[in-house]
Amino acid sequence: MLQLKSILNVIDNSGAVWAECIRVLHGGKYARIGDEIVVVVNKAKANAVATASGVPKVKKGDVRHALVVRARKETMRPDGRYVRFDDNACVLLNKQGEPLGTRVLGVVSGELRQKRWMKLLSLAPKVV
Amino acid sequence: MFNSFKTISARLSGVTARFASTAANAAKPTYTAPASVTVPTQFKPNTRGNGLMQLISKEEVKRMGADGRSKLFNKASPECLRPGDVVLVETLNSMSTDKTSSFVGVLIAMDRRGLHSNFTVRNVVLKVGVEMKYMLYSPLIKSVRVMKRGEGFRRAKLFYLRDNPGRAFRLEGLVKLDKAAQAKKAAA
Repeated sequence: MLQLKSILNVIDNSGAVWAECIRVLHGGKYARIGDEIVVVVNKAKANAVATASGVPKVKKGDVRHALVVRARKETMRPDGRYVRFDDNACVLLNKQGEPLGTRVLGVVSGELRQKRWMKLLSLAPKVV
Repeated sequence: MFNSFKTISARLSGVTARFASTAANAAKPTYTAPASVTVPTQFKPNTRGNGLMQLISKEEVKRMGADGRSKLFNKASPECLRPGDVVLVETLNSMSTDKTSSFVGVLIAMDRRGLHSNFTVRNVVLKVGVEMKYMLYSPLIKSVRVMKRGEGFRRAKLFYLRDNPGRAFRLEGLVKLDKAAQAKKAAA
């Protein structure tokens, strides 16, 4: 349940460390796992360099789209199972809606099993 | 005087004779269902001692618990789960496939709620705590296996482990041992 002013960890290699949600794109108040949001980067790695593969360096203050991949609020699965993580995390997206970074550093929720996010799932070291 | 009283059977025969259809039906053979149809023998559920919803719930628990999973929550059973046990939960990905996913973790909560009985398993995966709450009677749960019995946990709900995990979530060694044991079993 992430909303305006919620702070999320950024778990890709784009250079951002924390980001603050400024808008939930589907128009409601809260974003859940798998929802796209607009974030402003609060903290970025100072020495992050654009990689050879062309991942741009993200600076503090950048406004980007992001995808929520972990949430502290428990999410229900169709059979009544619930998943809950210890933190809120997101992955930055580019204008086309594709992941900005080339690596995902951490566990990601299985809620993302849609066609659109299969690339993210394949990048993730662990999916729960 | 007594001659005027008809016997019961005489009275009845008079009645049945008046209604020709019933007499005709009485002579017809009774309907036998084809072999593919199960004719229920009991039409009204016996709700003695239970409300109707309670009865339905009890029947469902009996049906879903036929594979022995009710023993996991039954304190009298030696297989009962206890808070603090390290469990491996194997779940089917969907009802139509045989593919399974598994989750290992410490059992931190058990809620006994009839058909809605559930338990929460917590683990630390790649430095992030993850909790999964499973419904005991879900058909998607393939198996719940205790990998190690919990020792020294004196609470029913171990939510304090979220802040003070101690050594509770160092489970990689256990998982490796378990995998080796399973491989041995499969080979044998």
